[in-house]
Amino acid sequence: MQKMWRVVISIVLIMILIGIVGIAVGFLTGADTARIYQTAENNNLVNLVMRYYEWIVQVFNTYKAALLGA
Amino acid sequence: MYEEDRLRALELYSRMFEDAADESALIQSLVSPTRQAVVVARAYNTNLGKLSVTTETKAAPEDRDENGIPDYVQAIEAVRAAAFARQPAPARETPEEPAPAEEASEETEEPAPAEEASEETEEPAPAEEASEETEEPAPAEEASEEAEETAPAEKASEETEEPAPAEEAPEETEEPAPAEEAPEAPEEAAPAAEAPAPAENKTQENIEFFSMPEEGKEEAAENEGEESVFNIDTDLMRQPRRKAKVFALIVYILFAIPLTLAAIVILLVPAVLFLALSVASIICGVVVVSTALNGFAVIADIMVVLGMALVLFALGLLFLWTAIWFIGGAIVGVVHGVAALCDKWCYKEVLD
Repeated sequence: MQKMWRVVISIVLIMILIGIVGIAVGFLTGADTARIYQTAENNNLVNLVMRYYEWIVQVFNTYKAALLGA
Repeated sequence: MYEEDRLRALELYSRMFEDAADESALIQSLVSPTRQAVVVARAYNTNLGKLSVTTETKAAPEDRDENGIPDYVQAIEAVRAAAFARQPAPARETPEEPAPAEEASEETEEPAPAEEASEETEEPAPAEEASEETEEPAPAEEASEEAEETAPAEKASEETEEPAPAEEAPEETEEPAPAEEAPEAPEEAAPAAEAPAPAENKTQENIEFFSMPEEGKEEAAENEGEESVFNIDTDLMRQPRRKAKVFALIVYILFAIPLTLAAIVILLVPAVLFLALSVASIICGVVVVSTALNGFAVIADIMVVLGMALVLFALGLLFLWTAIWFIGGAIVGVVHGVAALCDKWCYKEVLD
């Protein structure tokens, strides 16, 4: 278990590092936040993410109600 | 073996050496300390059922035999009788000395140990004993065993008359009418003379052992380690068996099952929550990647969106592993812990 934790955390840190490098390179090469948001909204990406966020909050509230009700 | 019995056995052996006219012949006849340990251990009669060296003392002498003589003392006396039966040297060198005759008379006073000794030597011996016995001259061994059955007075007289070697003397004493068979004796003793080197080495080792101080003997006995009979603990050969404490087991089950179920439910809440987070993160990452490849036209924007998707995948993987750890590590660990606690509290091991 300890070894698997090390492996998973190592992979996660590497992926986050690569993602941050990609974001930094994008902003350095002329990326614009407003343009990205506009494009995402046009492709219903924002709505989709917001729906997943609402679903997660709903699940959390369900468990919370179940635990407090018990 | 009780400390008192051990001291008495040592005293008997030391008295045997004091009485012996030729210590080297006595040592040779005793063969090895291990052999003597086996003889004493076999004859040792305790109610404990194990042969370990202890410093405990007897609370009462009720574990002795009915005749008042412990079995191991009889065995040592038998060894003494057999050893002195093999020693012709004092009678040959100084015929006027009465020592061998006295020893012979002592042997006649105790016929029972000699019979026991012959019975013990006829028993199937362990591998160590067998190997030791093969090293020594076989005719001499047989002769000494049979010599115990003859009258000691005859032994003394024949030994004084014939200045035979040490191996031949007991051979001649085994037959009371040796007129015709006397010439066969040297032929039978020939194999013993052909292989004197191992016997001499063994004798030298035994002399060194018996001439050691007491602490040295203990160290040497420890070095023999597993070969020594005294290190055999019969408890190790017994199979332990688990026996349940019924009342404790019932009470434990009554309390453990609800508590375990509650712990599992409590641990399932964060597990499912992390599982949901991981699923959401991975799905978001997939949607972001698909949108970045289809809807964006600027490379810099695509780089930023792909970087965000990679971070989402990383968080999804972290949440997924956390959920797996809650299910496979924490919940299973709780169940194993409850079972181990039940094993510790509600069961005890007893020997068969």
